[in-house]
Amino acid sequence: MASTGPLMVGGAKLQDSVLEWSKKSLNLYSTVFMIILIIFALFADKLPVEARWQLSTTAGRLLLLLLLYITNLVCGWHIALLFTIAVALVWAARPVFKPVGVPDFVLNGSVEGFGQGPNILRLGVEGFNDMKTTDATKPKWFIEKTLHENPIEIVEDRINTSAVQDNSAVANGRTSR
Amino acid sequence: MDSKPLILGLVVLLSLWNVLVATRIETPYPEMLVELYALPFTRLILLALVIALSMWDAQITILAALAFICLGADVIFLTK
Repeated sequence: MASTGPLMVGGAKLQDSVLEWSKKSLNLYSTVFMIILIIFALFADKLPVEARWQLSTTAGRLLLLLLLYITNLVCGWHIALLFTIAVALVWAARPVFKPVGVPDFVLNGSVEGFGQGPNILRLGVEGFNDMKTTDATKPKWFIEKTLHENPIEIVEDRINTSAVQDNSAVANGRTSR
Repeated sequence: MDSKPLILGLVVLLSLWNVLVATRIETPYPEMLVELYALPFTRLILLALVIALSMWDAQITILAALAFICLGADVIFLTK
């Protein structure tokens, strides 16, 4: 009895085998990638705070969008949707302030704060160093009750300011005020 | 059996839910849902539901995914 499939020999047979293998591999890779994405989406808010910050910067967002586009092209829209969910949850869990340990990138490409010894250690957000904290008092504030917050310490909100000083010698009486 | 009325009903329901949670600052999520969302198993079930819906209908899937993202984002924000 004759075979119903096309008769392929040599290069054509090899090509068919390669195509079949790549399809199976893509299925396998897609499944593994889907499992990774599910775990990523489930624990998006448990990512390290530095990673969440970096992925929420302009460069990080562009990178994630590029990866999303590639995922859609390679794996299809089901997995791209999972990727979208994971990315959205990572962006939602973006820290409000720049975390400690994230270097400042300056225009000439060098990294400020790296390899300059412990003296240049940054403490949190610029301008908010040396803040004093006090113990939380009872009863709780209304907003704390509403949001079910239980603060341990409160950052002091008093800021010392000084008047603008102008000691330059260029000012004179002809200046219109 | 024609599933168009069911799809239409779910689309309307999910759209209303998304409008409700997206247009109010203080989203009135049921307390039990917020408590359950803290468990990874619940999140897995919800995500599995979204994936299962993607085999059925694209419109419902996208709306369900949006609802899942809104819930996740709000719970992350409120429990930070």
